[in-house]
Amino acid sequence: MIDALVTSIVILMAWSFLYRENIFYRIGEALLVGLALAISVKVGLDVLFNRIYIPIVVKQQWLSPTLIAVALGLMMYTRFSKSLWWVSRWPIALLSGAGLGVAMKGAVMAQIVRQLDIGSLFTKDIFTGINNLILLVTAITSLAYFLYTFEHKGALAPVAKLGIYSMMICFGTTLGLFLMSNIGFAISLIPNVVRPPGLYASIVAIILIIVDNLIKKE
Amino acid sequence: MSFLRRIEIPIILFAIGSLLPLIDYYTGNLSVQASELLSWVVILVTFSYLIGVVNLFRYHLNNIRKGRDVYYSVLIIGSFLFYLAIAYLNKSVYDWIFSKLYTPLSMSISSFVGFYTYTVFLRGARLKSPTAVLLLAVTIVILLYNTPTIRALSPQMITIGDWIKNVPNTGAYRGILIGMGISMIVLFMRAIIGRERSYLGGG
Amino acid sequence: MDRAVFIIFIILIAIPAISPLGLPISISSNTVEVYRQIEDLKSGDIAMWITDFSVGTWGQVGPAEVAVYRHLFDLIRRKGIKVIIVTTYSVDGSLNAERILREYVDTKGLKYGEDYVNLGWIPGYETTLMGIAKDFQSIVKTDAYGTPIDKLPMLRNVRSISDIALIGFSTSTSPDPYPRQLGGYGKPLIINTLIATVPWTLPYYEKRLITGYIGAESDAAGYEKLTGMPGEGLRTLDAQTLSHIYGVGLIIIGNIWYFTRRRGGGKG
Repeated sequence: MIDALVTSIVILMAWSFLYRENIFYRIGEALLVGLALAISVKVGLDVLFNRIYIPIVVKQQWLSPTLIAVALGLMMYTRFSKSLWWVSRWPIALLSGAGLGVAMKGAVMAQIVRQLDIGSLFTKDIFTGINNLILLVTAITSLAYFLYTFEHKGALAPVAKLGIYSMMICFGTTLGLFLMSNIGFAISLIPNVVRPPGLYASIVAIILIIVDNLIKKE
Repeated sequence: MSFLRRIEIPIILFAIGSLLPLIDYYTGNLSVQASELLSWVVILVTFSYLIGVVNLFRYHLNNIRKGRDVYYSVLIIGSFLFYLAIAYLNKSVYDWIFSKLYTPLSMSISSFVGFYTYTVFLRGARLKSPTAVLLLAVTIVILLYNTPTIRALSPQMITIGDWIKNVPNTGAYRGILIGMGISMIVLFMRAIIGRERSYLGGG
Repeated sequence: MDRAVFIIFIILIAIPAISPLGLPISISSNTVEVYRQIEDLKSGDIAMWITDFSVGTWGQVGPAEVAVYRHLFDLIRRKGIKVIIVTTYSVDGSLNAERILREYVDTKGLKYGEDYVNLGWIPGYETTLMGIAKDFQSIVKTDAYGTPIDKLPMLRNVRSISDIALIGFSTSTSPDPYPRQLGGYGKPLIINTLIATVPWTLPYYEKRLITGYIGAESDAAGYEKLTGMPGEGLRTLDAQTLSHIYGVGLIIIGNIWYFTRRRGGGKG
């Protein structure tokens, strides 16, 4: 009972923004930020405890290479110092490098080489051949649209134009699905506010909105 | 000291970080070092994650000191300290707050986009040009295709929707993916030779 | 006018929440494909599920995630598979995973560490994914509760991705890192994501770098039907039907309004 009521109240506090910005919404927003911060610190400290404290302090592996990572990690906090901020660039550089290197390693095969392989245009089933042709045309034309190295003139102009149409199909698909995604959030929450005890909180919210409207009219 | 401040040092660190996984993957050499680097990343990411928290904390403390949005900043810091204390003192209350308060609050704020997408559909989805007609026609078909009841009642809609999703849509996305992959290689090359330094921030 | 749009939407989705309409549904082929790949796991197989979606997107990704977890834990009982749960992207994922284990999955009678483990949050995202695929033991030091992995029997022989039979992941951001690091090993790689992210995954799916996908509550509902374990997905289906038709209606009404005003000399 209390669980459902608390849940419905926080949903209504957040949704009250749809009426207008108000104190309930701002309290909900502040709570969300505060709780998210606490969660980040708690879980972050747990990770550091498990990966640093246990091996180095508890297991006494003092000469572990992990110590270098810890030193680099602490170096990040020099960004708060006006004279030592440049030290923080070292760990950030290593981190960015590792991130990009790892992504590159996978991208060459998954995003480029494998994607260049488009099925045969001459198949027993004529529709498969046509579909493969459409796949080829839409892929090439949408890629051509992003070729900013050359001006979209001459032969490239109609190809890039066709690229816009290709992308409109994919953006149309995404737009339809984007709406679906976003309304899904509201749909999953609605039972909390239309069934008791959440319903009672909703009635109070509606009364507050009516009163606010009346006060504004006066 | 001035030597240590040189920009070449972070660029070299960037090169080491990026080349180790690649050398390991393509040659099989330096595998142990690459694995060690990956486990360092776990620690570095955690430290960087906590920097974000420190930054936000400093921002709100500053707000309180300057008398700007004091009540909200106090609420943020208060709820942070309270919840952090609860996390270590009472796990069941911590879990309850996560399930019954934090999750619905977070979901409710995420749901705003859904409400506003509807108003965009009403106000902004105009058939002003051939590209807009194509975009909206596909949007409508995809919406109907994904409507559970329509799917159940009209198999034709599934055929049309499947075709749009799997053929022209996949083709166009494939072009975008290839473009992204190539851009990543270009970014990598620029960063390795020191032309791209935005990741270092602050000059 | 915005408020009217919001109110109509709320009323439309509230009606089935109060009194379900029982509109018919069909199970999508992609949902059946995912179900089959998980159901095909054999005794002793290790499945790894990466829960990386954020709390705010629970409404979209959560129901299918719950359905898949229930299926996996059912398979532990029925077939003796083993399940690894891990988060690589943000803190949220690990909390979602814990919540599902706590509130939605029946773990009674199962042995933690032998039948399933929760590795918690291993930050790093793509680098962690590469670490898991390449050298599991070096990237995973402890589970979510601080137990060293050498004390968790089911993990002793897990060295790399080759020791894992199936990998699944849920995400509410870019799907790219997963096929980049975990695709192409000849293992099933399943994604549970926002429906809006599905088109993005299709080029990978077509190349079998991702072998199955589920998105949206309709797929969650289909999955719940297949497993015979009803949940949140099936409860929200009527509301989805009404809200999609409402979206199409708004596009049509908006354009009728626009063209009528333009013909009348207004700005539109």
